[in-house]
Amino acid sequence: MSRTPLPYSPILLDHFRHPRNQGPMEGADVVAKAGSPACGDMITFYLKVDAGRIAALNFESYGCAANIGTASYLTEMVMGKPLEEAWKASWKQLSDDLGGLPKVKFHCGILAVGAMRRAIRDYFAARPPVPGWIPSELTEEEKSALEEEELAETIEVKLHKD
Amino acid sequence: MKEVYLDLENGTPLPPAILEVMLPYFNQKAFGHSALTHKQGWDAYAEIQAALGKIAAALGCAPEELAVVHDAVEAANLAVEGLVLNRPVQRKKILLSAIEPLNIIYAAERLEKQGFTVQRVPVDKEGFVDKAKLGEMADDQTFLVAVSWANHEIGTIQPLEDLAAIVKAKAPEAYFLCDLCDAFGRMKFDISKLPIDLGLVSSYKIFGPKGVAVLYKGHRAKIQPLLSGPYSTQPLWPGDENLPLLAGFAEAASQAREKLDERAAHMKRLAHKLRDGLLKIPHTMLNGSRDRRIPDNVNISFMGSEGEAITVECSDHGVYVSSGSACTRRILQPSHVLLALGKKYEEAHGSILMKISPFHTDADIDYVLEVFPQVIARIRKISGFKEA
Repeated sequence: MSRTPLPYSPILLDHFRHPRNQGPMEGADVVAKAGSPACGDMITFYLKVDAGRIAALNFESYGCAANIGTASYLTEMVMGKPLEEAWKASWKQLSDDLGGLPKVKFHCGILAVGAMRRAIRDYFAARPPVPGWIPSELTEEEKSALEEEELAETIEVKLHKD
Repeated sequence: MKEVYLDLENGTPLPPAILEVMLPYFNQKAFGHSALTHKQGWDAYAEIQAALGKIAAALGCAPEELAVVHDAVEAANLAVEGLVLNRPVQRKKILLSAIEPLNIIYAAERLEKQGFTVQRVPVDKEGFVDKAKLGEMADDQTFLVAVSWANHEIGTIQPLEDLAAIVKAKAPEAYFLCDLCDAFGRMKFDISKLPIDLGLVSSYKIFGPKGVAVLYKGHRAKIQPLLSGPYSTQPLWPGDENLPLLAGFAEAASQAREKLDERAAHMKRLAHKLRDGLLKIPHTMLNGSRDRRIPDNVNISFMGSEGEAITVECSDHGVYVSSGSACTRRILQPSHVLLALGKKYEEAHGSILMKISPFHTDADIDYVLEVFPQVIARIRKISGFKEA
């Protein structure tokens, strides 16, 4: 199995070294977790909404430097934006803005977007009606987070069995 | 900023004294081809023999028992496939300890395409091979057994004589392959007196140059070369010998043997200081055996902190370490060694491997112990880890 180089861009490293909007938030409207420590990759978003816009989005990340950097960048990227616009943020855009994530770190961007969408979906689930721009089916990014969690459960079951 | 390099598992700095030995061979002496009939060729031949002689003396074997290759990956492949190429093999079972290094695992798994089966012998929570299981798994169908004497990742020292005796009783025809990369320079032995057929020793792990290693083969192990090429002094790995590297390896090997006691005592003292200091950080655990462990190895898991993030953060402080986390390994699987010990995935993801060299100082370790609590505190703050 070959290994690939793992360069991080200066902007990603800056977000790792100086994470923005990091830490738990009092009075968040929604707290959404995605991923699992068993997979070495978990993001928690604390979302506060005001008049349909993201008033505050904080994160916690158990993960690598790319995981921390992408979550931090995403919070800045969507801050103050209408929820619909935030929903449309893509991991590819996130990766491009961060100077191109290394291939083996694409999943970090996918998890960050999946976690944020889960937060937005949970927000409306608790405050129906759910707007039409949220598809009833999970998006690829949300599915990816779910798959990671299911994998973590499988691992736990296997460890318990062994 | 002070810098302390502890990632000696993956690369080592070349001591100036070794570099000094190597430099003249690049352009001042013995730069000819060893098979040619002129002074530079004869000199090259003589110097290669001298270097091989030094390496053999340091390892405690005859020069003819060594094959020079580029690294442990090549040595592992040459050992495993070279045996099979030598003559048709009816016995198709290969037993690997569950904590063998990846170079051995991959070399063995290549043979699966030829009908071999590779089975992992389990280890206990400190990394010791399960002797009863080895006894059950080894049988007259066993072709090869591979167990590293000292594990590269957790430093656990296997009871080699006991394991070899089990293999000999249950699978007398089987060959015993032993990775000695982490044993040489840390433990005293003569390789020819070990109960093994094949052994790997890498230059960089004893502070020789990268890009050169040897495969030891005892009298039972008959192997064929994997490569074809014009004859050189190395029939098992034909091609141009790299004399500067070989000379550096030879010097490093001599020093590793001559200075073993002094170096081992120094490394052990500093490793214990590092280990004890880091274990004062709450929610940490030592991976591997506390007592039966090579003197330079420290492997600790920090809960609530992902290992790759720790390596990047440590690097910003000038402290260079590696991790068994999935992310840092780039193959997106956590350390198979730590999982084989029964560690949880989170424990493997939060593991940090550090190795002490004979050249580290107390001031180096003091600095690392100053840096680490800050690093772990920051990474845990980001992860939201609750200390309670």
